Amino acid sequence: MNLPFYRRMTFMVIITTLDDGTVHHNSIAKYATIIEDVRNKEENVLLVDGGDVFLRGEFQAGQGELETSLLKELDYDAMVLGNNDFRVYPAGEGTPDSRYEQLKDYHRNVNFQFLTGNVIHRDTGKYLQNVKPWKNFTFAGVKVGMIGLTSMKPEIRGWNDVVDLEFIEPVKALNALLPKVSEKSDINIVLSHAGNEEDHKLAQVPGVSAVIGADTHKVIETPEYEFNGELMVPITQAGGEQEHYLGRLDLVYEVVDGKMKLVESDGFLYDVTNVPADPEIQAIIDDYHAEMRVQ
Amino acid sequence: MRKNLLKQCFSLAMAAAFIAMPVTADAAKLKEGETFELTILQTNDFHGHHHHTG
Repeated sequence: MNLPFYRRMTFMVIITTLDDGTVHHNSIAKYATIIEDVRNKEENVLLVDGGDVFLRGEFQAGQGELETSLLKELDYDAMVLGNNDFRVYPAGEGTPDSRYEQLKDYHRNVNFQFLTGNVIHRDTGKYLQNVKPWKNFTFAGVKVGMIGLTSMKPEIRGWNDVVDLEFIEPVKALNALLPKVSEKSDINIVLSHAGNEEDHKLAQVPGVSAVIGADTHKVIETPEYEFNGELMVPITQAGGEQEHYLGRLDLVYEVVDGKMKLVESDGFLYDVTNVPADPEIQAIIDDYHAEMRVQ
Repeated sequence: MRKNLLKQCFSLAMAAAFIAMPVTADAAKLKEGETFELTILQTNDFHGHHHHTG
């Protein structure tokens, strides 16, 4: 496995404060440069997002328009819906209808699959429109099943945006989905917006070999682990909001008794300080900002 | 008519070929001892913070 060019040797805080007191965020345009580099070097790559793409950002009135457009441009493979993706802007004024419209606009903007396997309509028991509980990604005949699970917050907090929806406990939903997914996949990975504490519970479920986490904005420099009775399962998360990162998890599987078994894992967060921004992605961001400021 | 017949024959031949393809069981597909490497790149919780140069 090639070690990435941008891999840092020591951890440093990437957030820097400019003279005027504004925060200098990690740039998605810099992530784009690394993503391209990794895709060129590694054979089997999945690019995923853990949700909560907007709300509280500078241009939240755009309801995730820029963020979902950027994910599309970067050719993401999947995204799990975060609790704030269910939250219609302005927060507190949403209804099931406006949430439906918001998520419909999300879907219109992207070319990849939304995964959320623990939210269903109360009246029909069906998953959300344009959202699947899981998806298979096939690499040279190996099927990687990715299951999306999100936070219970919208239901627990009684958001009006989701009164028509039922949120199922992530571990319960995972246990219900796993037999079917395992039947069709060689490897099971969870893409979670359930929060780090819940991720540790998800990682203990036999059959899961990694939990890609989100929600708690936890900066996990190297993976945390849980033993699931068979192996140590890595759990990741790449910060969030003003301190977000591009995270990487490398997994090595070996066929043992006819099944894919995780035998090695390693992960880290990229330092993008000296990474050049991808000009095309940067232009999309700058143009959007200029346009929104004019309005 | 002839064109349609040819098309039908071709379709039947294709269907037969697919039916004849062996269904590969997972155990047969995965060869003992072989390794598979997967790299997952991840972002999360942008909350609209994407940084611009302007």
